[in-house]
Amino acid sequence: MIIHKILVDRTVRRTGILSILLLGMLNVPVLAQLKINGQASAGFVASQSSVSQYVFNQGRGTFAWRLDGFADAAVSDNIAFLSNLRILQDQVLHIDYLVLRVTDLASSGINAELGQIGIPFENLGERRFPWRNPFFSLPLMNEHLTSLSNRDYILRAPDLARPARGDGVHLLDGALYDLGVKFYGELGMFSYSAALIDGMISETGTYGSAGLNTHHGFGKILRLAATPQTGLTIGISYAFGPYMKDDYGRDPNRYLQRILGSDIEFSAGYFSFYGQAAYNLWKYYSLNLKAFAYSVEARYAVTPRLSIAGRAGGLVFNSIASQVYTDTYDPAGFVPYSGKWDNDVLRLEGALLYRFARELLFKITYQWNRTYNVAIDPADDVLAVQAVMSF
Amino acid sequence: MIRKARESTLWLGLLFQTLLFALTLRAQEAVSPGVASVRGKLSIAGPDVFVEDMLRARAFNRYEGSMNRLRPVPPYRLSEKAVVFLEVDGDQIHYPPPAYHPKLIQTELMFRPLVLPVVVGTTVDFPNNDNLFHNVFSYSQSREFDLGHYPQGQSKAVRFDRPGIVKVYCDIHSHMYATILVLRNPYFAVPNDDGSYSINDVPPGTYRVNFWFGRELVETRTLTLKAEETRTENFSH
Repeated sequence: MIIHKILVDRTVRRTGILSILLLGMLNVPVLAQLKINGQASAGFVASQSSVSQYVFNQGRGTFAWRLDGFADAAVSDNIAFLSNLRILQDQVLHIDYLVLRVTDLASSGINAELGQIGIPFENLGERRFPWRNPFFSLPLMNEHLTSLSNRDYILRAPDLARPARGDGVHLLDGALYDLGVKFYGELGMFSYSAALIDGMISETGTYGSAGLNTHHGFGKILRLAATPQTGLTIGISYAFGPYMKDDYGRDPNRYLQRILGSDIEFSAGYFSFYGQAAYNLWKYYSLNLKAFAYSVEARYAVTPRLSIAGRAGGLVFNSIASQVYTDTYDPAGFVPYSGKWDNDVLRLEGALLYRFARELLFKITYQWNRTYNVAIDPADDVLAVQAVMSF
Repeated sequence: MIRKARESTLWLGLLFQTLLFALTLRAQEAVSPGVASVRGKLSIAGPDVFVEDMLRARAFNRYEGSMNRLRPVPPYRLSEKAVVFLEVDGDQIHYPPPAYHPKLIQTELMFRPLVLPVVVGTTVDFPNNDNLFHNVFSYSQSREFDLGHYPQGQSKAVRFDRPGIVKVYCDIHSHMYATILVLRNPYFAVPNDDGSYSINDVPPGTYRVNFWFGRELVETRTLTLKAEETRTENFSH
């Protein structure tokens, strides 16, 4: 939900790029290998009302829709163009994924993607999209906004005092796309990915930066996964790089994010399980801002049409003892602060899914959010009803 | 004299054997007493669009790296994608299903065959030959099922007790599809690779003869078969 709001302002400018690309696609000589498909969803969302980043539409029940379009073209067996386009009810076009892909480079078995890539960190995969995501939102670790401001990257006393913090950088920036290059491949039961991106895991280059790099450096991501048996994949990911724009005269190498992730995916019969965990460290002046995040998700097909799903996600932050800024307008002013730099959160979600037809899925999801370390836990549970069509 | 007589006997023997052989062949070609047969040839033009579907899906796959490791895919043979079958109104006869289980195989991210005709009551096996999961399912009215995830080398079975068209898909690989035609009677045939087909031992009567190709019923004709008649019906697509 938060992602939807944030992504609005970063993609309007890409409409022109899209037009050019679509024209380019029409010039692809093998039009027979053009493929367009997608997912359309419409629903109703109602959340409780409070001052919390998880509240949807200020607690007013609302209808919403979303369209994901996948437009791909291939010019040979190993050269393809792939793109994901997304439009929400705000009618702003988002280009999430847009790559030129070359597979089996020089018969080496190595594949490459260049453009706006899917960041190879953990195992979100197709769960980015409503058809494969049993819930309305992404995992908590992909949605939560921390107290570390993403406008000028400072911790402010007023932000830290709010029970419903969260106007800052992500832990994982949404569905994890960024401009860059990715190399990937497989060696037996192992698969590997290495990527360079303009931004960083917690704040990708697509975030309010006209699409171009805002650091004198790149985000570096590595992932290694093993599939010891069909249906079981275990992966580890590591990313490091500057997370701050250097517009403020800061040395980006002093403001590095390091994040270690692990993930597991298991399925057998009618049961599927996904688990993700991440340990994150932001260097912030002389402080280390740390966060631990996890998400576990299980799904079971009760009948050919009916499935149930549950997900638990949590965030745990470390405590700091330092001087923080007083407010926005007095950056020279400091006050002492001692305590967690963001509030711990637990999110539990349940979903009931029914397939009316092969191409039509109906979902009812309930999201229960619990914020710790606050005097009063804000009321911010969310109910969503969503119909998704795949075409 | 004796030699000449021997030669004549030899020639007569050869003539008799040839005649006997010809009569045997004729007897083999003739329909059984009281029943009829339908024969013909199917002519198919154009590329194998079904394999192209799969190749596109493989090329545009985003999240399943192992899809790139699969072997090249041979096109469907005609016997895997075409069926000719007879239907008759008000057919209440129960035909025993075969003892063996026909197979709908998951291999190289495709179902093979593309269309599988079976008689009501037949049990079909669904072996997974790919080194990844498939999730075979159908929401068709005549048979709804979901086989879940199972690995390479394993197979699951489904019995089809109601006639109808069962569209089979994979929930993981949306381009995969196949059709199981659950037929009331055993009067159907899959063609040979040269397109020829033969439906034998059909009781006399009025039938609809249907030509199914790939995902759809291409053509239906009505014909009345007389006892011991051999009817030729050719189809093209």
